[in-house]
Amino acid sequence: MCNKFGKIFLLMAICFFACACGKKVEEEKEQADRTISRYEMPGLLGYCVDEAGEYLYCTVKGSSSVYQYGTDGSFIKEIAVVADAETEDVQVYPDDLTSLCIRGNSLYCFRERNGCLIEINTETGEGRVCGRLTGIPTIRKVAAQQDTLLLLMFPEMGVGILQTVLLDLQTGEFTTLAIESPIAITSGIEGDYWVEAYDDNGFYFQKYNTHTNLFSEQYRTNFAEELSDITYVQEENAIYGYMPAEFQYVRLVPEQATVAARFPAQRLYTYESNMMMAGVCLFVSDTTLENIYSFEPLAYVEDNTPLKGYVLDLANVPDWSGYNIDLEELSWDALALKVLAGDSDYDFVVLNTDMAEALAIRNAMAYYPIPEKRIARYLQECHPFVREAATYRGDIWMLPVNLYASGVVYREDTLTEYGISMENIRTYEDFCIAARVLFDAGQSNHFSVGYPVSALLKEYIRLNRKEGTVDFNTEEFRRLLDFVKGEYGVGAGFRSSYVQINFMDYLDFYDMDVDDVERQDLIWEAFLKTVCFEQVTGYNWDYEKYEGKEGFHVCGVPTLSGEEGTFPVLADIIIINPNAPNLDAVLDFVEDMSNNYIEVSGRHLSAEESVYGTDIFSRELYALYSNGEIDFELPDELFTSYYSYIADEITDKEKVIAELNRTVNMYFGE
Amino acid sequence: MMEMCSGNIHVRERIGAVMKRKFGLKLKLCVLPAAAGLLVFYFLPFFKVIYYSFIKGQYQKSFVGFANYIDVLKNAYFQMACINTLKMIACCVPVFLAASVLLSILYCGGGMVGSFLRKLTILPLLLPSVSVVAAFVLLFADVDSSLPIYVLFLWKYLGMGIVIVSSALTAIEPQLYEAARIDGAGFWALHGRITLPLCARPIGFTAVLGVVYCFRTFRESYLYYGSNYPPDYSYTLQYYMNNQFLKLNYQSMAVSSILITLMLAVFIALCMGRVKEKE
Repeated sequence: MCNKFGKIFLLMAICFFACACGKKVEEEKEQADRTISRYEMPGLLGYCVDEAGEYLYCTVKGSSSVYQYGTDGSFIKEIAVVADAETEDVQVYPDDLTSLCIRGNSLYCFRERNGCLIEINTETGEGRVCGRLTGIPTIRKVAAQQDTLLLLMFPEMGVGILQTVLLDLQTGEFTTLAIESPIAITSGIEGDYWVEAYDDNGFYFQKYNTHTNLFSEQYRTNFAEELSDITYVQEENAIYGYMPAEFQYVRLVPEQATVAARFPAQRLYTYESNMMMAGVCLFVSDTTLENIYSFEPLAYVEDNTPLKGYVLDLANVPDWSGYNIDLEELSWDALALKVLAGDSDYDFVVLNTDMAEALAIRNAMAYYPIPEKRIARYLQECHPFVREAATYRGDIWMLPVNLYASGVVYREDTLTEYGISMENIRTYEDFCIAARVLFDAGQSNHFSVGYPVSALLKEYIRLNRKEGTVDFNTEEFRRLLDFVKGEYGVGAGFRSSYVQINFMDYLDFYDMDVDDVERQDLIWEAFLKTVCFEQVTGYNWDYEKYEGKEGFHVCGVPTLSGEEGTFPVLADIIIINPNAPNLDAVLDFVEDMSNNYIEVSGRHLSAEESVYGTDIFSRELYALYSNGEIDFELPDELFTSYYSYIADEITDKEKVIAELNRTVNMYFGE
Repeated sequence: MMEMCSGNIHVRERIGAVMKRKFGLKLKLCVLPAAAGLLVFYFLPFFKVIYYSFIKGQYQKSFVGFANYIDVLKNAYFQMACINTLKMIACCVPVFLAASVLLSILYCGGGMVGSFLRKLTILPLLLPSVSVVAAFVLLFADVDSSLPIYVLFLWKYLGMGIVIVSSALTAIEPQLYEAARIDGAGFWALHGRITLPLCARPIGFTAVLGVVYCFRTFRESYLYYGSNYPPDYSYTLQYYMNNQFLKLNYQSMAVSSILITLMLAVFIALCMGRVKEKE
């Protein structure tokens, strides 16, 4: 009897302990420190932090010294670098020290002026030239091991293909490693270097051992974008990286590189962040803004069972809220098979509503309904049309995470100069006439008109879809065919003009030296003044570059009929597998995503005006999205004849109409 | 003595019967793995397909009786697909059979040249469909009918029909033909009275194979038209099923599969019945 009570007591004690542990973890998670420290370094060129995270070393423009600071920001000392004083100069670069790197007491830096790699003892300040590069190379990053340095560099003045070059610190000899397209490097455990590279099959990590001179196997990732900088953390056996295209940090175990956690922390506008881990903090620099930042990355990373997701396009969901996810791109055929078979090898799928597959999943009810209480805040704050589209037969069948509404951004004052008023532009025909006026006035590269071929057809279908059929045998559609053929064909020369601002230019613009940025700022402002109008596709960066800029307005894209109505909005959506193996974790993920995404103005999900900017442009953009409607599109292959007609492969208009009637109605009817 | 002999014979007969029974049992045991495989990999999935044809959806498992069957049978595009598939079978299979038999007879009597030509006809089966279809697209650029698909079918699968019929032909005793010739039989009489009756079973099998190949011509047809929505005259059951698959409409697929199986079963039963009748 006593024994029995003893067992029960033991069991209760274990349960209590387990509950207490869970609570502690939860508390720790809540208390996780997500503060980001910022170190302002005017003229910052290079920096590094010692392994313990106590000292910060940096170099600044126009100085031949390394400055030592405490990580609390206190100045400690200046170390003059004179070891290369007698080396002959190559008069191209100024007297600057870059590419700092530290291992123990040895600090390494590179002087661009003479190509010298200099080793400095941080305690004594003594230095020596440990190697000298010939030519006029540009080093992107240096990683250090016991007897070697690995350089990631352009052989000639920042041009050509990046190379990984190993420097033997004993002999001063350089050896180029046989990696075809390296992107980023970092030191691993004793004698190892990790290299991120890419080939035709995508991005991968590979380890090089300096003792054996051997490469490990290639560990492939599922990324669609590169990590511009990486750092290896021995305690976690993990690599942290920065994905500049998405402004996301990534954590992954290199041997299982398909599983990664992505999270946003400090946004950087540079490729060369010289990322390094010191203590529990991740340090990154943004030389454009002359700042060094540090934060605890584990505060952003979830300790979840890796979730498996399938996408038809890897670019659809960039921010994973720190969840460990294995996201894999799959064809619809393969995914359809998994969905129909009720496979339990994946947790969620990510689709866009421009894919007919999204509706197929909804109609087949191949989703796990997201409990409303899990995403209550999201549902309360999102635009009503988002909620409406996410609801099917009373269930929340998907979570929209990104909205895209096409619009026209315009500068009213510039347009007025040419006698154009956007208020008078109601139809696409008006829009093209306005573009032609600008083109004839020599305003090339200051306006953009998207080809209306696809948009107008989709609009026609949207407006004329009745009871599951669409009639193309109408005068209205014939007019549409005539218009798009005329505009797409010979008469469309004026449309080759476009606003030469795109996302990459925008990034490049920020990836310049401070002086250049100041200069470019003026060019940028001047250029913006010349923009007449731009038809944008609706991605965040399309609008971002105009937000807060004076004189800019935005409105919906002109329509076929010129009548006002709702604007079609496309959405990236997450759908949970009804047989998800990690249902609780995936629901947590969706819940976190919903809470995070609803706050981000660039995703345009929130109906709360306070989320967005207060300038006129932001107000108008908000109005555009508020008047939206999520659009589920039909497969493009139904319209082959339409596109063939515009491309002059089919000349008979009636044949096109008959063919469209046949295919579209077959799609609806079968 | 006679009694003893008859007793021995009786014992031998009994031993023989026992041996035969044991051998039969062994044979049955040998068949068991194959039967189990058939059950697990064919019948069970098929039963599951039957089950799916009676429920509302993959993720809504409520029983709906014959509602899915009624929906599919009423669907205008399913009807169109059925008619087109039957048309293809009706046009292609007889030609396939006749050409297989005729060419086999010619090749078998053609010595080395015949043997070479027979091997040549197998070649299309080995060629990748993509390259072949590209040539057909050029060849039949202006044809607005199913003819290119029919020709593709014959071009691709005729070799297989010839191989089957030829192997049956070689098994016929040449003396039979010799005797018939001496009796004054001509070409048609020889093959009408000897070849066809003796090859009825392989020819029946070739006919079944022809029907199966008609269903398998989807890949070539898809490549030829480059779309899931080919012209109406070429929209066959495979297109219908493939499109239902892409729309995740498993129930329509299941119903279509069962209906096709029934159609094939009826056809095979008719063929076999006819063959047995001939025999």
